[in-house]
Amino acid sequence: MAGITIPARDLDRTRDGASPIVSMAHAAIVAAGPWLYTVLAILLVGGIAEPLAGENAVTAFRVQVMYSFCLSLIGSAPFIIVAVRGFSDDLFSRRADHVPSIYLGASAAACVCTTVIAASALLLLIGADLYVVASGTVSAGVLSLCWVGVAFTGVLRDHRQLTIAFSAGLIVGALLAIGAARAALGPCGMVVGFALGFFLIFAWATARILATFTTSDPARGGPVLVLFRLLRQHRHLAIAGFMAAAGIWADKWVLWGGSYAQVTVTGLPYVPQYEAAMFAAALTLLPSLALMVASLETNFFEAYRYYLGAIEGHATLQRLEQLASSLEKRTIRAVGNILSVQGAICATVVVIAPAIIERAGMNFAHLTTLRAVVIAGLCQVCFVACSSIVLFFDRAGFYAALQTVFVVLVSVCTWLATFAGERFLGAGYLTAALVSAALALVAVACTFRDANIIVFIASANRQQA
Amino acid sequence: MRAADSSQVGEIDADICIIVEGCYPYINGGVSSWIDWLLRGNPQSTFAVVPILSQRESRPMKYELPANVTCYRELYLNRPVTPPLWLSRGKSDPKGIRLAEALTELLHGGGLATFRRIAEIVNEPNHELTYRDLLASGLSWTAVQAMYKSSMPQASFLHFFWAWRSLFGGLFATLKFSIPRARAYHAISTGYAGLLASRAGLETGRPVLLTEHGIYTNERRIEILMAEWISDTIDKGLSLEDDRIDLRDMWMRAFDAYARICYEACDTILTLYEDNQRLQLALGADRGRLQVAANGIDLERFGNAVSARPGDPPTVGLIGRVVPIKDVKCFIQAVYFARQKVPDIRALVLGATDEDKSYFAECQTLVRDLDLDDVVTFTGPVKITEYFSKLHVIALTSLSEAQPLVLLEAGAAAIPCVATDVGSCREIVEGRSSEDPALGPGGRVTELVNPKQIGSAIAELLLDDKLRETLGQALQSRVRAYYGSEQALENYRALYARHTRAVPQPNPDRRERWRA
Repeated sequence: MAGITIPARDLDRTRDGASPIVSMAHAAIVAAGPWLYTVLAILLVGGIAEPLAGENAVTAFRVQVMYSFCLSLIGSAPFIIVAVRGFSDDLFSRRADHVPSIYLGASAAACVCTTVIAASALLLLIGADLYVVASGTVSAGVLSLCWVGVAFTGVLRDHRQLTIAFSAGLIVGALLAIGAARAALGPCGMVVGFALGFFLIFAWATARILATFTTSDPARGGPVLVLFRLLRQHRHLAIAGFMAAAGIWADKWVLWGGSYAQVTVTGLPYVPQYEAAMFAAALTLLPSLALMVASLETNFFEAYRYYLGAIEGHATLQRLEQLASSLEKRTIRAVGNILSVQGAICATVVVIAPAIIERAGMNFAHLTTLRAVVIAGLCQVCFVACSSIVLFFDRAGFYAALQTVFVVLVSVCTWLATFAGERFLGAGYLTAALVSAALALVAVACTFRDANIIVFIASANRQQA
Repeated sequence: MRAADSSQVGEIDADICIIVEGCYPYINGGVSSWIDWLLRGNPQSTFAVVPILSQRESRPMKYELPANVTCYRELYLNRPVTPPLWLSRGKSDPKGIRLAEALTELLHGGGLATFRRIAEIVNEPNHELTYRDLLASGLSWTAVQAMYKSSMPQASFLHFFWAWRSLFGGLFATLKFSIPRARAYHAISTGYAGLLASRAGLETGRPVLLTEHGIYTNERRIEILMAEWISDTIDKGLSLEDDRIDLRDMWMRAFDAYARICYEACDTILTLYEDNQRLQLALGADRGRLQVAANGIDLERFGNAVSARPGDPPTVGLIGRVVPIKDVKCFIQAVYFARQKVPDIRALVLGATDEDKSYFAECQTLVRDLDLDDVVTFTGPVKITEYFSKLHVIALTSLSEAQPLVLLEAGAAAIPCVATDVGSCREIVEGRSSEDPALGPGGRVTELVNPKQIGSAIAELLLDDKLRETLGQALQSRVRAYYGSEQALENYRALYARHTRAVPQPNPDRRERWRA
């Protein structure tokens, strides 16, 4: 991801006054493009299908899509993060014969794991009927394949193709969903139709990847063996990936199982006001995400590469200590800038929250929740930025620990918040995000302090192992 | 450090623990064959064998362990180690500083006492450092940094870091190894084998013996001086008084230190020929502990071999592995020059070609470039007695040798030799100055890396049947008189018997010596 943003930063450096805005827009699209298109597609389907299928069916459709996203992200995350790591390592070593096996192995594992998780969750936890379980499992499985394709295409920096694939897939998915509504197939049929659009995205990405990497070395083992080896080698990364995905959804699962949940016509619980507030808060993160892509990732990555280059260029220890210190200062400055921007956005949204609630048709009882989750967004940006830096130094164990702490905190705090009343539902997420951000700051400070020992000793032992 | 006491004189794994680096039982020929001969020639003793290898890898043993080997343990100098999840430099670890100081002292002339201090730091009772502590922890980082800053703050830290890990990683591996319990410890070189034997002597109070074939330190010195991967960061110009240490110095000083430690720890230091003792004395060995124990060969086995007849195609053989130290390229070039005088010459290279594949490829290229495809044949490993009947002359073009068995074996079969002036080659080919009666030369001794001179000598012997026969007979007489296997084995039997007599109490003189 970092490499593609260097052109964005270069764009930023031209003398044209509009260029910074253009580069930011480009970065925003790179960071959040697929998600934006997906949201737009869901809104479009909802708008067109509501007269055909009714408001309840459209609501049920949106909720089931959310479940499919949740289950597919959790089920595929460990395999994606490990596979991308293996893929990147092979690209760095200029070995391409492993890539098809990694990709196919990750796709198969993600799909199998997701369908098991989805079927278990929908059947055993939710107690949904078989039609819902089947459609939910199929759609989650298809989505998990799509995420693998998206991740690998992202590593290849083939963003243009990814954008085209998403556009085509979402158009097809939206049309199929609307068609299902017309054919009175109900929300489950709409979900499956929508998911088939994502299958097109997966197929497009697969064709692109297998056309780029055409050979596979049979001596290195089949897809299953290759993936198993990667999982064993990067088990901390796998745990981290799982926890990172789970952390996004843990609070929702706690609330879906609680007394504040409503139930759709298909039997799936949801907490509309809380989810609406979280969605609004997620939108406020867009500028920070863009800044992270355009600034933190690029600047940090360049400084980090310069530091590594100095090591390979046989610098003295004194020089390396200076560069590590410089890297730390530069990164802190970049993170500080991002947090400043996000802080300003949060403050603005907190102030105009009543207007947002009125315009969005939300309940004023959730004003506190909206404000809490928006502030939590600031902490979340800090957490994501700092934990990403920790991962840059290959401290996968540390990263996994941070993500696990966040999952535990957000689950426990959200559960505790339910006892305080509906107004305070966002307090749990805020508390978890605040504590996690503080821990991530400590982690990143320790990482910079120990930069040299991490790079030398940890890398040396990894090589020898 | 645990002191040896009588309560520990109990069960043992073997009478003698042989400690060998980088050959037996995985490499054919040379020292490996000698060790195999030593083990089989002493059936009355039990042996523990500790081969020291770079790392664990599965490959077939080239020698079957005889029945009197009752214990076998491999020591790996490089082992993978997983760093702790929380890898932090923390505060400066005082133990790391002490370790750094002791290692620095080692590089500045430290010997057995310094090694003992290092062992005490590493294996302090109830506070033992693990291999992970020594290579992948805040303590090890403290030690690396401290040594770097005090020794060579101007050097590439990357190179220093890897040099430190290679050199001292091996030292730490010897300190953490589980040593077999034996009545005596016999190292077959200094270096890491010598370190392990020294540690065994310190911990058990048992006698330590050393047999040096080549001088390990010298061989490492040549490799280090030629190594292109070691960067030189100090330009000392022509100054002899610049005492700054660079990476190359660090490598050489480390191996010098390992040799010093071993010589101080040993009760008896053996070598194959007198000239080698000069080098051992220069490296700090005590003259009173030096002995010469020449190699021997099975006279019956090789004496019955028949050499080539005058009418057969003129053939010269090089018996040895195709590796740089044997300078096979020089041999090939010598054959090129010899061919100018002996057009129908044949040359056989009788030895393994798989030890250094890139060097072997270079030799093959040279053969092609010199248009010697029909002349030079690489046979791979063979039974050399079966080839003696094809050979008129044996050539040895090595850059470094100790007491090459190949000259003795060829001599036993009355085949004259052309050898470079390394190790004991001149002593074998021309006889010691004290030889009485003088038996005359058994071949020709040449300069190193002089293919023209070597080729000329080979041609001289191939063209003159009478001369060849005279030289061959002289060499055979010398080998029979001074290099018999039984005689050599008897020397070791006596040595082992002397050093493995039960010791009810540790020798106080030995402990005092080590406390110095």
